Amino acid sequence: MTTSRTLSSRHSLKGRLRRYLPIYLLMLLPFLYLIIYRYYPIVLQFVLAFKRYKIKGGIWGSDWVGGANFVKMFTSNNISRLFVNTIRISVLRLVVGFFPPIILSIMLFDMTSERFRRISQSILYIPHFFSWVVIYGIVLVLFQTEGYINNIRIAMGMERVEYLLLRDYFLPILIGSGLWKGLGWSTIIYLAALTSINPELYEVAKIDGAGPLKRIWHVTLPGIKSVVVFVLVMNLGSILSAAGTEQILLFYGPSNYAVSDVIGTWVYRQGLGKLEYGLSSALAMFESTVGLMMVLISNALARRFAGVGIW
Amino acid sequence: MRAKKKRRGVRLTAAEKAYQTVIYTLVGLLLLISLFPLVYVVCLSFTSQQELYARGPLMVVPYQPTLRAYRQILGYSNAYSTAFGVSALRTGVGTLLTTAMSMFLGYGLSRKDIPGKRVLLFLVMVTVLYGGGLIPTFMVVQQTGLLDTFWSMVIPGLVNSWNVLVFKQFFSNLPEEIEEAAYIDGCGETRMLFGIVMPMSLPVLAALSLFAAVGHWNAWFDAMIYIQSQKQWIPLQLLLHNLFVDANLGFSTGGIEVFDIEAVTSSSTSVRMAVTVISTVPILCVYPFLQKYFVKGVYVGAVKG
Repeated sequence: MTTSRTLSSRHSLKGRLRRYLPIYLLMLLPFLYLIIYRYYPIVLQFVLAFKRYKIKGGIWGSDWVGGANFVKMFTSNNISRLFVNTIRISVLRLVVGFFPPIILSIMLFDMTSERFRRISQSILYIPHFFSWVVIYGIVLVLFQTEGYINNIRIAMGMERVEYLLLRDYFLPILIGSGLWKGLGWSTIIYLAALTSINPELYEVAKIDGAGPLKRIWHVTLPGIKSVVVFVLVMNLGSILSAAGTEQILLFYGPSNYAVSDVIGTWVYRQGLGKLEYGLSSALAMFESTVGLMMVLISNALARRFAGVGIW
Repeated sequence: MRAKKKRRGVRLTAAEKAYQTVIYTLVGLLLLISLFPLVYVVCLSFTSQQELYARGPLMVVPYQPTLRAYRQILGYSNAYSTAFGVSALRTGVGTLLTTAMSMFLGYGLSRKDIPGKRVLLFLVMVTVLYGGGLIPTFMVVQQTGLLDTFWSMVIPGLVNSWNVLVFKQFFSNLPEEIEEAAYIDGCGETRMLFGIVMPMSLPVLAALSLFAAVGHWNAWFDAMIYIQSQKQWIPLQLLLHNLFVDANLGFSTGGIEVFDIEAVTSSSTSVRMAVTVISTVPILCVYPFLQKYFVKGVYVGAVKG
């Protein structure tokens, strides 16, 4: 701290400006990018949300409609279905995906063979690095009409099931394949916390004659408590954004729109495809604003209860 | 940790033995679930139709593996090799530019006495927390003339604001004495960045560029919306997407048809699986390097205190 104070006091504002001139030049392009491709879209979003977009007039020539887009957003059944689906899928993902990584990381950590643990980790992390398209390809060859699962069913004398078309199977397949892709990867944060637990605590537990379950309950879990709280709170912050538009776009279809259509997919299909720019921007504004508030709240909560925030 | 394991491994109690049995069984099961689909996909890409008919649809490992699917891919016009080239190009160019831009910004923001630091940091933070959304961004891409060009896959994601913050955090934590010494020796800020700070930051640079590269290689959605008529710019993942979606639905998905319709209609499962395998090989090639860095990378990114 003292060195930096002497550093800054050594130069006047003018001197520092001159010193950092090359750095300002390096930062110019990235900042130009932020203004054009990050800030300008926000301006367009604010404008379009209150307009009825017409291709003829463009953004600025289209008519202002006041809050009409927002009224439509909250009254139309088609749109409120999107909110329900978005939140349902996000919550399902977060609930289904919450305990498995914790359990898996404890199992990996407790393995007696370091070698087997390393190999397991290497294999379990891989699916995280595959694209959703590849994941979809895997789901196809397993679950489609002629897929492996149906072939097994036929061999066992059962009927084929249209897993990818029937509405009832959409959520299990979407969330199941998401878990398959991400489970190994989500153990990383817990494993990092587990390795920082003081080994002496385990020695003491052993001398006290604690069995594996007692050891997990009294040493392991308390050791990762703050990370668990952190993940939980951060999950709460992403409740509107964890639906996973990219994956749903691949997995869904008209036969299951009733449960699969979320804000992101609607904006792509109707907004971009059918030029519903105004309503889409109103949706984006709502989504971003709620998302912002959720992240701020969850970060404050994380700081308070887990002692760590993201900034 | 190794010492602890060894000591614990000397004499296992009955309860400990039972517990170990349970966790090895469960993790083993999970490994099977993780590996089977991958093995199946690879096997399918080497399986011939004849063998599939002869042995029935439950077969997994082909006894007479064939490279026919891979040869077919090379035979079909050059849609696949072009797409592979586009993916490689966007990964190379995109990774280089986005890492450099994020690093420049991160470096500037990490200087303690740079004038305007608070305002600049605020400007970056806003973009982490609030986004314009798909349609406003699409309109800007359109208005700036990027639609249907290679750059539509690079420029809209040029700066990763999150990585900027990771860089900033990392640079701020470097030992001040070295920079102070260089400063006294009359080292300017440009030389400080490229000659002193960058060489000390190779692990974080490697980690962030590897992740950026994986992101670029796996991206398809941006190409799907931005590449509309210039089909020569379709990346491999989008081509694969079109292969699956079109083949599955039996019709073209409104406007986003595949580059070579011939390639879709005549593509068998083995061809589609061969493309899948080809599209993941580069990921598997960098995987060992990724593994070396990602624990550090994620941790830097996730919990910065």
